[in-house]
Amino acid sequence: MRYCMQASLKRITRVPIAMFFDFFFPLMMIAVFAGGNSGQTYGGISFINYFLPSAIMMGLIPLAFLSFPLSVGKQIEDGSLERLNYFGVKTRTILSSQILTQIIFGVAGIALDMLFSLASFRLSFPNPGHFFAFLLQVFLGFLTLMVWGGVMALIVKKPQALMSVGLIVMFFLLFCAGTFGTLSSFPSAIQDVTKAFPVSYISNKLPLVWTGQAFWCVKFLWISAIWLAIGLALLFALSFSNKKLRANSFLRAR
Amino acid sequence: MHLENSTQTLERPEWGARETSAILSLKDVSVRAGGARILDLRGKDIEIFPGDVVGVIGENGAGKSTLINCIVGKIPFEGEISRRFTLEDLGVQFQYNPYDPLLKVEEVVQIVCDEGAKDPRIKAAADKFEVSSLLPKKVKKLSGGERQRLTLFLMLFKNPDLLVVDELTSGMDFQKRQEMLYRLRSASAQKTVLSVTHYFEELRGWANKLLILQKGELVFFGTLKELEDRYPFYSFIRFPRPIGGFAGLSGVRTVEVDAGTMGAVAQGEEEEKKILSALSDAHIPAERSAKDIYSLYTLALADFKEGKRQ
Repeated sequence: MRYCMQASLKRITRVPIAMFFDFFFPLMMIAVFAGGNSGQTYGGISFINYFLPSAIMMGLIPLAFLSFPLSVGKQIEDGSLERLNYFGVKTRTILSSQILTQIIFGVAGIALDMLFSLASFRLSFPNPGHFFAFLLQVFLGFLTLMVWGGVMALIVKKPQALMSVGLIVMFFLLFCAGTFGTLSSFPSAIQDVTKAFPVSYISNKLPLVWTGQAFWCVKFLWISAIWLAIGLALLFALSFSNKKLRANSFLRAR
Repeated sequence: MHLENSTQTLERPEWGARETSAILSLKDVSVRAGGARILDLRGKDIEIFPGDVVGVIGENGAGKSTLINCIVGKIPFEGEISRRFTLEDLGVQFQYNPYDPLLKVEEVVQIVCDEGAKDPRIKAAADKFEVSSLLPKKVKKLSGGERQRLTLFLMLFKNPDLLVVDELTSGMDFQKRQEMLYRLRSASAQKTVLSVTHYFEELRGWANKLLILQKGELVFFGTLKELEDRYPFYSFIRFPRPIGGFAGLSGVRTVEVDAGTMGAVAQGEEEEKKILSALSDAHIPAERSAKDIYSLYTLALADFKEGKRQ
């Protein structure tokens, strides 16, 4: 596991698109939006405190829908996962390393966003209770996204198609997360559609947690839980039906 | 007349005491793909015992890789395969061995060997297999031969009892082939080996059994001795297929070696002289060989094709 983990961590740094979207894209958006809206407040919340959850999602969505599914999907499809299986390396070890790597990079991205916002735009930190409630809810959102990224990898399969589908899903979710403007400025029909996706609550409601006005965003928790449950059920079903992922009887007999 | 008098013979190593239970048994195995039966060993029993070195040979599309893939459980099959080995006992080198192209060789080595690249065991083994210079390279930068060398190293590192190699030396130059073969053969003493190859000379002095396939069907499975006994000839003479026919070898058994080559079977010294003389008179170059795997394979295949025609 140790060497799988090490290799997985190094591997992700060799994917420029992953590095760009995970780290530089959110920082760039913070610089552009927070720089352009400095001094503005939304419901008494300064812009950077309002925008931080959206910026964090800008890093986590590409991790979940580009970096993670592409790396997993490619290894399943090109046979490198199976090749390692025949050397005695277990699928669960490899996939666990990949998942842990994405989580580590996600956490690193969140920390970087916060430090950059603090250093450049005087981000205010909430008290520890609200801070951990915020992190827990962000983590739930990230976990849900990762599960659906995995589902996407098992449905789409071909790495090239996976990249295209991943980009479409990513930009749609970035839109839902308020990256391209506050959702309230869009027609109500579009707003209604976005409400079905947990990421939309991250831009709308999680600023309240960050600024200490609420501990939990109940609607977000419910919707995330539903998406997570459906995603996990699909993920297990697809994993068991995937011939390349499901180890053959000989490999299973270990 | 150009006559190359090959003196190669079938040297077989001495085999140790045979264990009685087979490490691998196949019974009525067949594989379907796209509606066609690409491997059909129905009605055939194949047993491989510990210490056997089995050369799996046949033309392209004969079903060699399919057979190997069945044995290691990679593809579904009909019939019965009894394996008295586990994944820990198995070292397998597929025809194509993909690795994550974003990883470095040392990272792949560490994952598979579960040791740091600086571990003395890995260093020693990497030096022995000349993999040390590859360690800092990215996998995607490896040549075909280097990738095969890496796989061989990884396969042998855990010292498995059963080695399955599918065209280990395919696409390599002579020098590289010899190196790879030397490494595999040195590491395979006292082990059971299944080796798919198109280079029959690789099996000389190493394989004790042959498994010959043709279009998914079994042509022969048994010891080299059994194959030799089936074809008790004196020598085999290859010559280019004469254009417009050649009647000078009447009474001599001739077989098609490949599209451009024929072979004449000499039952004794006198007949050999007669064949060589006839070919010489017709200005046809000839190449003589004693019993080798290639000539035995050619005859077995010719008989098999003849049997199918009848």
